[in-house]
Amino acid sequence: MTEKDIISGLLSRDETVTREFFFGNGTDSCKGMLTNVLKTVYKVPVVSGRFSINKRHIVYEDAASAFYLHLLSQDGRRLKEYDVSRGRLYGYLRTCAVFFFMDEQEREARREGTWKEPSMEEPLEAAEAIIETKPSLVFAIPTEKEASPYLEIVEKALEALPSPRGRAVLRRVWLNGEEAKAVAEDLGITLTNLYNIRSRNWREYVRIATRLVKEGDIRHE
Amino acid sequence: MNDNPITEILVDAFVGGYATPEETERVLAAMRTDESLRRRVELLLEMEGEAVHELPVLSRAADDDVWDLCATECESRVRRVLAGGIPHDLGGDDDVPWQGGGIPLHAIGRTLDRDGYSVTRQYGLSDGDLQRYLKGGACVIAVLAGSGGGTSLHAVHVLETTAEKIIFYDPSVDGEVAMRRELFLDLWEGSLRYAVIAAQKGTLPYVPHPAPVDGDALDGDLAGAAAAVCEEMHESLAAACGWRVPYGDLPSDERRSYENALLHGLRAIQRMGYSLQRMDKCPHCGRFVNRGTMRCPYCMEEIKA
Repeated sequence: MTEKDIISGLLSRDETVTREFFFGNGTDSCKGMLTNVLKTVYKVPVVSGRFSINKRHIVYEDAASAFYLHLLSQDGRRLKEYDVSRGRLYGYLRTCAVFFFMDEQEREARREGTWKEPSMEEPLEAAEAIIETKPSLVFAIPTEKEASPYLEIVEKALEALPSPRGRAVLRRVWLNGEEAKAVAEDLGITLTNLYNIRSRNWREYVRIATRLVKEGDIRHE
Repeated sequence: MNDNPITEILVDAFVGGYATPEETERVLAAMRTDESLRRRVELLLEMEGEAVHELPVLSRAADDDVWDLCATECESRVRRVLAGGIPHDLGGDDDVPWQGGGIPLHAIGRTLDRDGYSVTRQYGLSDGDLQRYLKGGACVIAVLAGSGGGTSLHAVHVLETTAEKIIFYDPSVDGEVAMRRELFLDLWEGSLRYAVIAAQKGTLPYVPHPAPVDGDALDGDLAGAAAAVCEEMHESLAAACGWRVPYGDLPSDERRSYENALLHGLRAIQRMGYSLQRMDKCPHCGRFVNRGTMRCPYCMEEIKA
């Protein structure tokens, strides 16, 4: 099945497609991905069966059905929004599943009164703190709208990439919008290799940026 | 409940590398104030890391063919080296596992196999491994990201490795190329650092190097079936080798070795583009039929969902 077949099958509630997609064991099945999400979010074993024994298990069939209904809700908005040209359906659905199950988990925690409100900070305060401490980095990237302090993280994460080639490719192709072919020629590499470098370094880039946000690095330097 | 305006499609673009700098900035800004969103992104990154190795060999290798005749030229060259410099023809077309667009990775070196040399094919090697094989007198064909665009790959015959450079014979220029080590390693990533190593029979300095298999490959029904398959494998080996210990009496680490071997075998099958699919039993005649089949092709009875 192509990604398009899967999307249209899920939207039209095609029984063969949905059964194969959620419960099959073939290459089109999302069972492995969904099981992995459930294990990661709930940190308990995922079992297959009709009955939930206790809270220490997640029943795959129940979870998959709830997730399917979620995908169909709002007139299937989440499925319709997906752009098949990305070729990343399972990655996208994994994101949807993480959002859905974490929402469910948080809702449950609120119901049980065990929910701890995460600490919130005003973005404006963070912005002021940066501008006061390190103004030179804030407007490193030319932009038409007012520059945001978070562009500093965009820059800092780029600088923290360990591979010089990765830094060059991301900065020139992604950040500056230069033509990939010209950059590849300039760096003396093939276009295929450039895309490989971009893809590998993007993962590292996202990790670094997320860590910087978490550590509040933006405020302390 | 998460009421952040950051949507799943935007977060997926961020994690997957499709987000623009402005979108990236939006997600980062939101993560700064929304701990729940940040936890979600961290979970996705955790899982994305797994996918890096999950999909590599699995979804990509089915169409990973080396382009043109570079692989056969490398094989021909390696054969010449192993035969002491005597030119050696490849033989008839039937011997060349040629498949239109190229030679599948797993088929490189088959003619060397046929001619009685020791050959092993390994993923995930390092330049240190190459050096060790070369020092041990083996010949190495490495597969690099090619210049043909798309996912094309290119085979080269590695001759020497140093701390700065890798020297190889490149069939596309019919000559030796000295490439910076860093660039070679980057290009080599294109085939998940795959190489074919060949040597005279009995002289291959072989070190097992199975392809990475991450994630729960044997999940669900297949995990249950795995023990039965392993037992069957053991029965077959025990009969051939004269062993007298039943599978159930094997120490748990040996049983795990069987399961691991099965897992690698299944992954190799998938890597070549085949799929594994559980079938349903026809409730009327008891034969296996494809899942979702409405009418049994054997007894022609209707199968209700």
